Amino acid sequence: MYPSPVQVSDNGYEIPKGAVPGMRVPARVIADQELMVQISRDQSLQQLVNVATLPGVWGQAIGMPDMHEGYGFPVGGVAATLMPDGVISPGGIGFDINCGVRLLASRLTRAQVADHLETFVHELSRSIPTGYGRHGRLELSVEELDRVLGEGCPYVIGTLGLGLPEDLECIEASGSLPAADPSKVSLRAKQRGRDQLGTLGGGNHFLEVQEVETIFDAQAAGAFGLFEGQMTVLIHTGSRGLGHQVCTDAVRTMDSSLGRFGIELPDRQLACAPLSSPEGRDYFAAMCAAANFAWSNRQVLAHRARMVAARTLGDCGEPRLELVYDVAHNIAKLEEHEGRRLCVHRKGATRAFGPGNPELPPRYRSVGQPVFVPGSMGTRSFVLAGLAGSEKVSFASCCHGSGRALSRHAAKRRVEGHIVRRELESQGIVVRCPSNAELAEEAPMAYKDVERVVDVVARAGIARKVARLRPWGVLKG
Amino acid sequence: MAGNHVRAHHRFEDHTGEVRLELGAPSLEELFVEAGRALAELMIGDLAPTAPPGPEQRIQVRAADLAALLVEWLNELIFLSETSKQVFTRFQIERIGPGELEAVVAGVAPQALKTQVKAATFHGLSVENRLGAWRASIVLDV
Repeated sequence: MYPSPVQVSDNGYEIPKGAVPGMRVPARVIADQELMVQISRDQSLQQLVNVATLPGVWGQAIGMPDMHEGYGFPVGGVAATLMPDGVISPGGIGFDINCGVRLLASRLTRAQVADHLETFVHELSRSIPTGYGRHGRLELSVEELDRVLGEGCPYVIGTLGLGLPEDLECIEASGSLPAADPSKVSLRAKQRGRDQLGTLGGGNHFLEVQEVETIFDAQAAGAFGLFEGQMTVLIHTGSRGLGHQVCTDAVRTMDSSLGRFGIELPDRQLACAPLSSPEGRDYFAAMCAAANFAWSNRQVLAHRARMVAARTLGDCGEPRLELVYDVAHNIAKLEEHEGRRLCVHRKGATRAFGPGNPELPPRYRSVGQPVFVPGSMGTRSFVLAGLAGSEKVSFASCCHGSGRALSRHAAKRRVEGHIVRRELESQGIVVRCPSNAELAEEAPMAYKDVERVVDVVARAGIARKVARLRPWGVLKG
Repeated sequence: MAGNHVRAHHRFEDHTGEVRLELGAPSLEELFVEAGRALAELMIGDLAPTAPPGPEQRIQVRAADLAALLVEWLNELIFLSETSKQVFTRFQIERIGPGELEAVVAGVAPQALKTQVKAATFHGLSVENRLGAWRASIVLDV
């Protein structure tokens, strides 16, 4: 029998260190009773306990309220390892390195765009390749791809001209991690990524056209440039096949070098190496390059969305789309927390720095970092602002979505795609997704309640609610 | 041999976020072929084009052990699918040992994918022979 988590606060459960042999720190889940019941239905708690056995793991392994079963790490898992010799685990970042979310805000309202909304979504679906086939791709030369990997968004904006200079300060790390080294990215990874910049990808990746439905915090919303009734565009995607291959390469390398480091693991997918080792350093450099690729991918997609807006919404008013923020939710970052240098793994978790953090752009510094929590397809998404207390609770990490509650198979058993499509359309949501099966897999009923998830992180002192967004149009990869 | 009574088969088991693939076959060669077929089914389902498979391609993969070899085999197919815009539907295993596999494969070029598969993982991975029949379990990131 696996140990049951003990409730330690209104929004916290814990499996204490020692409950399972090999645990080096406690495993803590930020959840209320209802979410804890849902979380306990799959293998995610066991996966979180496995994470708590990693060499060098510090403080506690943390599960977010949207946590669900993954591979190695649970999705919605956060773990920090103490530098210099703590490990880095590619499975703690995931195959989709720097999968993340970018929010663009217009100055237009529903009343202004109503007659052009369907055209806007349709043209977006024509201009934004989902990633299969060869339509609409931005093919890069070997040199250009290396510069995207090494320099990220400053190169994409400054040299390729795909964006505005002012975008940079509103991207986590300005869309460029200095530790990136393109020479550590394999030729195979570059082959996979060469024609994928500016593609959405499949699975749960999507682009959504939305309306700001409710403002909860006027001060923060003002700082983020959000107002009620406003049209926004949210982009959710990552590093595509390039990032997948970087992870595949590193898991293979680290799996075969575990014996040399004397590391024993409860799950091979947790393969890891000390960050101070050549294997750890090489992976970190490649992961940072893949992260630069992902930020660049969202930058190119945002550029395309801006072009479509300019083309189709010009008669409605000023069609400009301003970048609110872009933040990763699959990444490892070297950060200082309470005086310690840590490698913070966020696997399906969003960084949530509180007010005053010097990494934030000056205009957000007094309110905290924007955090985006997309709901499932067709449900509300949330904009939050990081709180200072997040550092103590979760190494400044927040949930990244509503979190799956049902497997893809279970969702398809319960609902048919054409019914999901009809229900979304009956709510006035324009849907562009060629596959009914994928619609069923991503149906709202397959996910936890995003409002409940967001309320838990707010009560836990991680982030406060700023705005709620209602979907108008969905474009699925 | 008891294994001779087992027909090659696969099924997709529930996994909250990803896809867990269970495989069975009377021989190791057939187990790996079945893994390839399951991957193709996941990627294109009934969207498979009616055109015959394209030109044959030779694949060689190596790994530290048999279970890792299954991961490498599927990851090689995923890599080749993505870079050549094909989904592989025909497999001939020419040689297989605990850490090495050589195969000839051929694929079709579908207009769209049902599921984009990111990678095969080591999570909950097993390849074993029970009473002469081969079984495997592997989680795919989709």
